[in-house]
Amino acid sequence: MNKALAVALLDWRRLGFTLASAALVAGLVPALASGLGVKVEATTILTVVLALVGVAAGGYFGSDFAEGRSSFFFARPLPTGTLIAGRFIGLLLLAAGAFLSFTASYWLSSRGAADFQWRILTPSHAEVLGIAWALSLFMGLAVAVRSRGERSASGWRIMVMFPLRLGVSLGAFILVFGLFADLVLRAYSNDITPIRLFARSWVVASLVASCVAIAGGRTERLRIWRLQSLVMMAHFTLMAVVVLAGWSYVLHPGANAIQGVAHPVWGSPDGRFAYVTTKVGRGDGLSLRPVFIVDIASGQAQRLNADPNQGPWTSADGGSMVWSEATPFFFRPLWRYVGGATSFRVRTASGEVAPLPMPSKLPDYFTARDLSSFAGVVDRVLPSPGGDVFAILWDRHLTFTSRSRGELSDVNLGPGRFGVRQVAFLPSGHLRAALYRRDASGAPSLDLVDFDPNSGSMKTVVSMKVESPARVQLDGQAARALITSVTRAGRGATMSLVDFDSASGAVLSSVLLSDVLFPSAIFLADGRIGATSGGSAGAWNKRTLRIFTPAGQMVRDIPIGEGTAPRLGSEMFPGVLGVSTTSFTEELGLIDIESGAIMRRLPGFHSPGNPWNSPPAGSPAARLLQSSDGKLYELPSLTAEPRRLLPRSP
Amino acid sequence: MIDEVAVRVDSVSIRYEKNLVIESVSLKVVRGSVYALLGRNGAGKSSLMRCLLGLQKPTSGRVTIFGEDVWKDRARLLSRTAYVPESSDAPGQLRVRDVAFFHRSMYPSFDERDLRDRLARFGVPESATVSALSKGQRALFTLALALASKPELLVLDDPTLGLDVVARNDFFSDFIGELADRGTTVILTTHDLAGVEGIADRVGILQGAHLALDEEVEQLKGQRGQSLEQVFTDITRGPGRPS
Repeated sequence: MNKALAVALLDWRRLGFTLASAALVAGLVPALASGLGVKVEATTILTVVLALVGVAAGGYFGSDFAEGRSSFFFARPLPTGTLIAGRFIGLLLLAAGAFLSFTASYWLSSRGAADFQWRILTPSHAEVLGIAWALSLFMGLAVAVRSRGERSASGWRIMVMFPLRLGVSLGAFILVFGLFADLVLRAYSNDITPIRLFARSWVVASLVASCVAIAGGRTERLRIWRLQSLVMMAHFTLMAVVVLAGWSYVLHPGANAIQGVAHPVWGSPDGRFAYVTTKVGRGDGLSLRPVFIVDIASGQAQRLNADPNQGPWTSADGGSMVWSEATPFFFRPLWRYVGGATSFRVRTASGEVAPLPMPSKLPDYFTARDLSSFAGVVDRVLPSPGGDVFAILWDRHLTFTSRSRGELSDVNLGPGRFGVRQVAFLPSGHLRAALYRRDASGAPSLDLVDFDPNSGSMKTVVSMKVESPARVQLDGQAARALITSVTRAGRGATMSLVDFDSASGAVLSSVLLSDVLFPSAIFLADGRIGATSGGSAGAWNKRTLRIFTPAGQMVRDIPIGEGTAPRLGSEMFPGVLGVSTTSFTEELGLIDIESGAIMRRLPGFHSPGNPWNSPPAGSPAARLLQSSDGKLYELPSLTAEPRRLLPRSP
Repeated sequence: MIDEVAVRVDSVSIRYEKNLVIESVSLKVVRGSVYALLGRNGAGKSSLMRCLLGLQKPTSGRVTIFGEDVWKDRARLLSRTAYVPESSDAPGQLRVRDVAFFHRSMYPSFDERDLRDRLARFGVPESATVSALSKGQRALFTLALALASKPELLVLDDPTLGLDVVARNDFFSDFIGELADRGTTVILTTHDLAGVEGIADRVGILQGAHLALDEEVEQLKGQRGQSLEQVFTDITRGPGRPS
């Protein structure tokens, strides 16, 4: 202990006065800043002071191994462990001295001030001190022992081997850090623990490397350097294995890893498949929600390796599907720089997967800005029926591309605040889009605009005043639109039907529901319209299901009791709608639209169908059920028991 | 039974990457004797000294001090050993008295009075920082520290480097002689052949990574009839070099 203290006192004598003086001055900073009208936290300044202490003490320890100096300790009867312990005690002494100096001047200069704090020392200060010491020791030691080593290398070695080794090392580091960044971005964006563990592991490794190198190398600088490198390489290899294993395991779950079903779940346009957002119990539990494509008939589920919220987007005929392949984000700029294909893929009806023809102006992960936007700048892609033309919405642009003809046209949707509420291809091949805009005065409007993909020309079909938010649903032919908007604040919403009479070119508009709460509607298989509402402002819990003719005439008003607003699901069987209600517990009611009778009640279930996605009536996708505990089922018939699809039964 | 050999070097080789500095060198130093290890610059003397003190691990071979492996038991063995490096290894910011305090904590037998006497005699102020001392003062200070620890074995790596002629002569005549009289084993490397000739019992010359000569000084003189400087020149100049 005496020897360790003697070592510690040497550090105190070398650095104590300087650091204590610096801390004394630093303690005045909060008061000086306050006098200038700037608020500076004493605890922040103390962090800087202690970091400085760590850097100075670690750096001195490391630099003591420079040529001709390390024998001062090793040529004496001083065990290596005692030397390291003594230097650590020295660090604590210096930190204590700096803290006392800082506290004294802070107390003298700031006491009585409104923001004066007694408790300025936190556990994170100890962490900062330790990290600064460990990293500074590592760097100081590396510099001290390496300074002559580089000079002794021959010219040939420097010319050839140094760049080669640097390149290989840098490449390996970028690979590991890139995969780690990808893992964190995709699976741990809500949890800082992996980053903290990763960073701390390097700090601990650098400290271990320094201690091993000092113990094993003593005064031999080449040996110190080798041991230091060896430990860091071992740690790097371990980290590479851990990161690679973590990246492979966490980001690539199979169907057996599915623990539950999340939102959204939607069906393919042909009704055979379900696109299911899942919880897989990997990562932080929130960030990673992979989409599985479930063949409902067979129950087979396959993960779509897609970026979050970047597909799948399907054509109206269900033949084509577009998504952004989940390649590691970190490497995308480099990949694109060297001419690599876009991450966007299209799968055609034949099953062929090919890169999506992209707009020439789209950056597509070419810059840091694209990386920072996490999922790129593409908002949505809509493949046309047949799968040759694609409408790509990105950053105020609507670009049409074609697999056979390349880029067809690019439309700049202009300045101002707007959003694209819905898009669909017309049988003519034109694209109909619902654009929600605000003019210079902030007044919102909804424009339904037809675009010619070949020329990029646009024609406004209808423009209407709405209040936000406006929801637009188009039927299968995009010939009619259901527009739901709040017209008067506090009075509920209005739902209108817009019928684009293509024969005459006239546009017919009729109001289906007005001043109702939480309306939802779908187009039925026979062209009629089903709509639910949770009552009105005066009668908020009078829930109804109403059936309208294709032209918008109400033909049936079916009361569905009191309670919270119902959610209209799919047309689960022809003429039978699934309506989800909640009255203490969740329940799915199957309602015959002709008689208004509830054919069946399924407590604990709801229909995952939603206004934006209505699979064909009676198709497997329309008969999906989601249980309150996050499981996905299919209802084979009106009377059969639900068949569980996901998670798979154990 | 006390081992009569204080230091034993067994087949020690030292290599720095591809550079073989010492190849399979063996020697032994008898207790109470003075061994002078000679060689030209870069011959590997300092490397061998560092191995001898456990500061550096030989690439192969083994070094024992008082019969024990110095690499394994460095700290314990060095409590009976003192080292004087080529140039002072004490951190320059420290004061002389701080360094003295450190040494007192390291060596149980440290004689502070002896140190003070010597410092006073050498004119080394205790309040001065190490960096403020002249080269000669630093060398004498380092030597004074080593002697105050009352070592059984003293290892000196070119200790007269930087000393003026008077101090150098004093060094050889007084200190080494005194130590030898006390039974202290001394190993030193030096370029001062004339100075060492009078005090060394045995001499070793490193040349071409090998120990080219390892003989008693008296025997050397008797057999060859040459001065140590002449022998050294003959050995280290090598064949084919102009005289």
